[in-house]
Amino acid sequence: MDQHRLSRRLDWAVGAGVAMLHAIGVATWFRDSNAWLALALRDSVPIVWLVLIPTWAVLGTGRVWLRWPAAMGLLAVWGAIYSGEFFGGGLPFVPPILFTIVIVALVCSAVTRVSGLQLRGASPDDLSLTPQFSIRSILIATALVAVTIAALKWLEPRLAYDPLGDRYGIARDLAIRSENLLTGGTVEVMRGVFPRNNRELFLAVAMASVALGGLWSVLRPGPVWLRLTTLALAIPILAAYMSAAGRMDSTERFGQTGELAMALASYAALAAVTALPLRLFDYRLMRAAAAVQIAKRGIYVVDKVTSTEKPSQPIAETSP
Amino acid sequence: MNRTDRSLDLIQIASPCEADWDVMPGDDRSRFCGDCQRHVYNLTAMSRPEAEKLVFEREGRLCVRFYRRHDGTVLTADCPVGLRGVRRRLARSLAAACGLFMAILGSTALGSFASRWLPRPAGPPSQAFSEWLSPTNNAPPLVGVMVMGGCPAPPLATPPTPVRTVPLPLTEVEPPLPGE
Repeated sequence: MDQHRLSRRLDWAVGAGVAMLHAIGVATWFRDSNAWLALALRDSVPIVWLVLIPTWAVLGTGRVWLRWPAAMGLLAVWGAIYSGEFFGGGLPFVPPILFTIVIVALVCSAVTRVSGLQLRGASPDDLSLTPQFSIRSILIATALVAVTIAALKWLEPRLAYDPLGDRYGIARDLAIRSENLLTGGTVEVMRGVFPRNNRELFLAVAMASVALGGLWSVLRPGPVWLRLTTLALAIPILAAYMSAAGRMDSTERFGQTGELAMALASYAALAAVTALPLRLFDYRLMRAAAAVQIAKRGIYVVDKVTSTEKPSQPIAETSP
Repeated sequence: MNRTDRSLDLIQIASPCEADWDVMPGDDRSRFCGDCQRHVYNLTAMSRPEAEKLVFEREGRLCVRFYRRHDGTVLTADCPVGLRGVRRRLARSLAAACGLFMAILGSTALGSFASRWLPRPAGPPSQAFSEWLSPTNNAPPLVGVMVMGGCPAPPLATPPTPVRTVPLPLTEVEPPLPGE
């Protein structure tokens, strides 16, 4: 078989495999399973969808007026499947966690878009890019790490389990108010933000972050191994922090760190695997300037191997 | 006529045609043109020996399409640069397919391994997160040292009849009430 055709078929096979994983995840939501992979998919699929849909709406290819209504439609489908209204079951997490995940995904995607990055079809030259040292990247990465460490340090006491008032909070207050309204009850609502709320919000940010990290690792140009290794190191550190910050006792900290790391890793892995077909079909999260620069050097942004058609006009003339 | 004279790079299109290749029936190598009722051959989808054989056996009397580079050479399917690209792409696709397969196998093995390795059987992500959100404090009481801290009301020896005054969080399973 022709090698090019074989590679295309393999790409499509990977795409089908990814679709199958998502189908297993949705199916397991309604029909329980004992396999750890199926359970991990069951829990990961709804959250990864909540990250993927807004990210695609902001960073995806195609027309905006088509993307945003489609994203709304996909969110409606998500709600139909996971709200329990039509098929039974219940939400994966309380609504504040789910809203926070969507907001984090939207904000991160918007920041990425403002910085000029968007999902684009890459040329063969883009595909052979290698990592390059950049002072600006080092400065940005250092600043981000410093801000993250400071924020985690500030949050640490606020995430600790409080046996006296931990279980009250925003979500619970809303539930009490709703029940009071419906039943005419007079249960008093405790005001304020409590450690459980902080943990819920932190968990939402952590889940969205690792999923976005998986997408970032796979979709940026250049080799994925360095980014995946960084992500694989960051997830256990995050899990260890969550375990240390959230629990009262240290007897089960090791076990909880492992469980949290596996849980977060499953989210990151599913997001990365979902983006893999896009990478195989030569889509990358990159700036438009790279494509124009290549066109100016006289290389057409077409597949050199299969295309025999010279573009009607060079890309440099058609690009803004 | 020597080999140099018969180079594929010297062929010329005598009468350029405006027919649309994309609408012609056929495959990548040859398609049938309905306007001229003739086969059109795509030299760029053939190796250089194949293309040369086709052109020189027909003495140039055939319809072809090809891509000529800026240096005047004709692009063929066995172009070393293109072949390298195709092989790289094939290797990448193979790596992705094998990686996905290994990831599925590996995560299944990891799940069963972690069940033995971790102090508790590894549960799904939702279980780990629920445990983190609402920890169950199973730590043994500290003995032999002076301890200080917030002290909730101790649990009753005989649990009272459960009366639900506050709704439980959505993620928890409500205990059945008496009479339900």
